[in-house]
Amino acid sequence: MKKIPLRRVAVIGVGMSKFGKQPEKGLVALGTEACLAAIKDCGIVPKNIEGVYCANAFGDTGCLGQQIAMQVGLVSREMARVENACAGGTTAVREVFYAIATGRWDTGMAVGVDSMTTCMPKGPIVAKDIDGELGLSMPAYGAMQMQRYIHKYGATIEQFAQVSVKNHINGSLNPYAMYKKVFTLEEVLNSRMICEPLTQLMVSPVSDGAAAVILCAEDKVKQYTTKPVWMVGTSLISGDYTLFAKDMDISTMGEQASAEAYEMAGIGPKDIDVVELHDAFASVEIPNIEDMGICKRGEGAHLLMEGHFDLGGKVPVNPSGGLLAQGHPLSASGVRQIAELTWHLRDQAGQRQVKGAKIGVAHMEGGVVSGLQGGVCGINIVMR
Amino acid sequence: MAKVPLRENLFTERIDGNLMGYKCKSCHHMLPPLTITCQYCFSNDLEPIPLGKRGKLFAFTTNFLNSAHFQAPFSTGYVEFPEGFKLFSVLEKIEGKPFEIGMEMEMLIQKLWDKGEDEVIGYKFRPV
Repeated sequence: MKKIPLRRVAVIGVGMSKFGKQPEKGLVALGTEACLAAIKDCGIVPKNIEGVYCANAFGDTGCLGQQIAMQVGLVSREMARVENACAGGTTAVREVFYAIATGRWDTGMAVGVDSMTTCMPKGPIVAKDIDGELGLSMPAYGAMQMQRYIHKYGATIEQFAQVSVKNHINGSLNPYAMYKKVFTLEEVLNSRMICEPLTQLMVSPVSDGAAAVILCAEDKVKQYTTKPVWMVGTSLISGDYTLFAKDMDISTMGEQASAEAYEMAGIGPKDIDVVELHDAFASVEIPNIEDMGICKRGEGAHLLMEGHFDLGGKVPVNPSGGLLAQGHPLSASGVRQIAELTWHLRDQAGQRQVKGAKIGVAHMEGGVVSGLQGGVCGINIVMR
Repeated sequence: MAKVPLRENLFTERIDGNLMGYKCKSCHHMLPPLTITCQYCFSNDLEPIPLGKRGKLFAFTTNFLNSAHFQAPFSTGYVEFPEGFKLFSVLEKIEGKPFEIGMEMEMLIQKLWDKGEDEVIGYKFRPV
């Protein structure tokens, strides 16, 4: 397929609602809170936002984007809602990027919102298909990914529990995190068993929240910010048939999405300064790091224990606290990651700041579909 | 009570017989149950083939959360079949044979749960 030339696109405004259990708010109030924060961040007059993509997985209402946007003065323009499992927010950001990069708009907003306490059916997130009926849930899948990794590389459950310890340390430094509490390795290992060997503190919490980002074409950026963060790479790949899976701990869509986004950005994995990735379960952070080519297969667990992915380590992973500590309102997370990375690239991330970070990568992966290796993996790359 | 399959076209003629896989008439690859399009060559010309009932445990977990049809704790996992694909389902425990990756498993075709007046027939696995 012929590639068309793209305009440069910057992130000019970012904002988040509070993340946590807040059933009294509902989807519209959460989304509005995030949009107002992003609008305030860049001082844009709302009517200059030419379109809105709203990501939402568990909705109790139609035209959610319109219901949120009208609260901040946005009507009579292009709007749509997207659903893409955990990568819904990633998808909305990418759609706004392309609307601007290809010249359809000069400015646009992506908002991601989920209210897991009010809209999600009780119990674990399950596939609604044959495997789901037979008892497959997201945490069960995460547990088996961990088991395969341990089986192949001789890794330990403690190494995976350390992911949760690390991300909760980071979360304790993040005023936006749902959990600002540090846990010991023993506390993680001894918390309630969910799907063996995954314990409760290795599973991201049920949470409600929203995030919004405002993107802008290069020639309008100076009107809004002196610290633009450029969105330089994006990719979105659906899962291949299970028949062609290498193993459960290897995501070929993650490998493919990373490679495509790196190529678009003109970078390699060695150039990355900071990563926000999908750690819905402590079991998937290490395999996801490996999918992204940040280290070789089977090396991630050792490097994690050596502090390679800590704040102050060689490549900090999930400085926000990740989904484990930040909370994971499904469709908010992919947008929230861009807000987090933007703060780092503007030197505004406070105590959790990754010093001198120039390139940040946001990774979201999710969905269980019988017969596919997974639902989707999306990558967005930002640079200062 | 009538017996109903977990999915239409899941089984060969007898509901308590074998699962039905497919062989692609175009590229001759074996394909898992419920396939409509060959995943190798995308042909729709598929021949139904009854599947065997033995495979090897690929991954498993014990779930401590209830599922739609199963009360916790219950075990689930993927079994890899010699035809080249894996199937997921509930695992039945056998005393003295703890689950281990690579262990030989057999497929049981039986009632999994009731749906109104009907018995839903599906597949699950247990150690040989």
